[in-house]
Amino acid sequence: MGEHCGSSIRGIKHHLLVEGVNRMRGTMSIWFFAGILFLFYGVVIFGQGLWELSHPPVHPPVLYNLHAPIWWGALMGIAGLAYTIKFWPRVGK
Amino acid sequence: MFLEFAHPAALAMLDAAPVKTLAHLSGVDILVIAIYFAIVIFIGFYLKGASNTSEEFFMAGREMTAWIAGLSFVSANLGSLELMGWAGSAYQYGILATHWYWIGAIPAMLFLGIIMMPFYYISKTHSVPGYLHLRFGDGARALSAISFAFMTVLMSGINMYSMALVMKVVLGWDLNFSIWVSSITVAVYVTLGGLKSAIFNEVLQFLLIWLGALLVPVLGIIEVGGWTNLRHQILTNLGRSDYVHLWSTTGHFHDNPMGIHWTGIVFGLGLVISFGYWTTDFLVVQRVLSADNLRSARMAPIIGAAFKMAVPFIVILPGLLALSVLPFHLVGETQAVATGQHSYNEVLPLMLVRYCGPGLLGLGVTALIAGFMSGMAGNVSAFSTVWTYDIYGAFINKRASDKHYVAMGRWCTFIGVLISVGTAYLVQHAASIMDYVQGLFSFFIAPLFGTVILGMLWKRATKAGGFWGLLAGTSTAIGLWAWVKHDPSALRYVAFSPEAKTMAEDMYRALWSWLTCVIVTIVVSYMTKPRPVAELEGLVYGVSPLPEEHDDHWYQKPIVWASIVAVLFVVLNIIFW
Repeated sequence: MGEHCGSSIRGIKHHLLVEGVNRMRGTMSIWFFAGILFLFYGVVIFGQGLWELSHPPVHPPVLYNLHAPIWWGALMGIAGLAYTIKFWPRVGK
Repeated sequence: MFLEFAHPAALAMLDAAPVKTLAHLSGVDILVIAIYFAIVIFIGFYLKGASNTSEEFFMAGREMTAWIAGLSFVSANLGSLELMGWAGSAYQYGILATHWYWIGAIPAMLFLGIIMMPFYYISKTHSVPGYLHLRFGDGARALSAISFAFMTVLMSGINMYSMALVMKVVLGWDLNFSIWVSSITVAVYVTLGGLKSAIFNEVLQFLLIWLGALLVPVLGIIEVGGWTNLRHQILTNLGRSDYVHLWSTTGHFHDNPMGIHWTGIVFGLGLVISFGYWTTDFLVVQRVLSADNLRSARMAPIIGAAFKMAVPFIVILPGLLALSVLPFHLVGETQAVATGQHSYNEVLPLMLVRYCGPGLLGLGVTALIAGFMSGMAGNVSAFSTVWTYDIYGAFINKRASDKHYVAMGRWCTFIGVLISVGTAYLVQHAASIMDYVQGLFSFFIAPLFGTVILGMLWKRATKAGGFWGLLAGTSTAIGLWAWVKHDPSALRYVAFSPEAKTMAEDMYRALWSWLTCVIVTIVVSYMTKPRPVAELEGLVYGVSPLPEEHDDHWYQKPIVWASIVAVLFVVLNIIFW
């Protein structure tokens, strides 16, 4: 009985861990990785752009007045967020 | 394409030049670069469990969608040295450099998708040498596999060294640091995850290149006030109009900055070099073979062609913009080292630094690093496959288990990276090797295309014809190269003009070697006994019916999308005529 119980628990563990991870592996798309990367870069570059508004660089790049980091970072962040949500890995999908 | 810096050995002079960095990275830039490394390593570990069989490790389980295979197909070729080299060529030769992206790629990619892919795919071959084995036997396979494996790892090492030099010039990074960090990272993720890991990273790299490089042409066009103003400013600055025309100046060798004639572009580049590279170089074809079905395999090169057509926007346009906006003139590598000026090859980093501050600069540098690592991953994964299937499995150990071949593939990846590192250090001490190896690589591509295309389209081609044609074509390429090297005046015979530049010579040499291969294959085939038609099923056009594709709608058919891309290609050439 105890042995049976133990093997059942091991079976459940195996089901949850190994097969669950395998299914996750199948559902984690390349587009999810791309979304995460875009989202991260978008947040960092957008944040840098905002910071530069109050702390202008000593040697600003050409066309600094267009504040490219703000709109480019925002675009990347929005695209990244959309892809991250759309391709979020779902177990058993 | 595979031609990167026009004279790679000249680039090596920078190693001895005093350090003058173009840019300094801030903390945000370092963060952006670090997160990229973290993600690619994570992908390698994540995919490890999905690369247990040889089909999974070498062919990514043949489960890639058309989009992933298509982006990977075009990305495997989009290395950072290629980006920087062609941006430099655009500065040096003007819009003519676009030919390498349009006529030098698009027709061949569409041909691969529509005509050739069904044979590669239904033959279930693992590689291009593998197809040669099925069609022409072991001789052609051995010749093709050994030359490919050897040249691939050497090219990988040369690219690694060139990239480390670029990082030294742009950022002041130590050569050893760049070489070891990038190669260890590539070794880890490809050894763990195989082709699937390489493909995943190539797709990420493709997106990163666009993210990192797109701002340069966008801001550049804003600065100069549009395309029409750019043309006027180039005309004013240079006093000549041939920098902004694709075809109208190619009627004579004298009339354009590249010293080339349209016949060389159309027949040498468009017909032979381009078709040879895009349809038979296993580095790119391997990505398409990983598609999940025949329709995806046919759509992948068509999707790749559509994106390839847009690449000049982030490569050629920055070179042209630099002719207008940079307050100084760029020069060749030799003069740059002697005088302390900037060289043509630095044009892309210079434009990046011009428009990008902290954060965006890190993104641009990450795109360059990603491009380099992805190219190296492509080289070592293709090397690993060809070595394991077409050399080790075919001639050394034919009866090993699947598990053994996967282990061999992992070791080959690791060893391929080590040989690349060794090559990088070798060329550091003997830079002229770079020119030789780059020349050698192009020797095999053109005749290989002759052999493969005759094998696919002509059922009368025989085993002996395939082998001797390939050998004769390759020998012709080497012979012509050695002739011009020994006697530069021979250029008037090889390229029809003593004024032809290196690129023009490459095009004509490829054309002659291809013609030799085709003629020898035909003659020898007629002299030898053909294979029974039944043995050619699934390998040759017209011998067996291709599997029918059941598309629900007309717009799902590959031929429809190929036609759209072809029309766009023609329209773009007319616009920039």
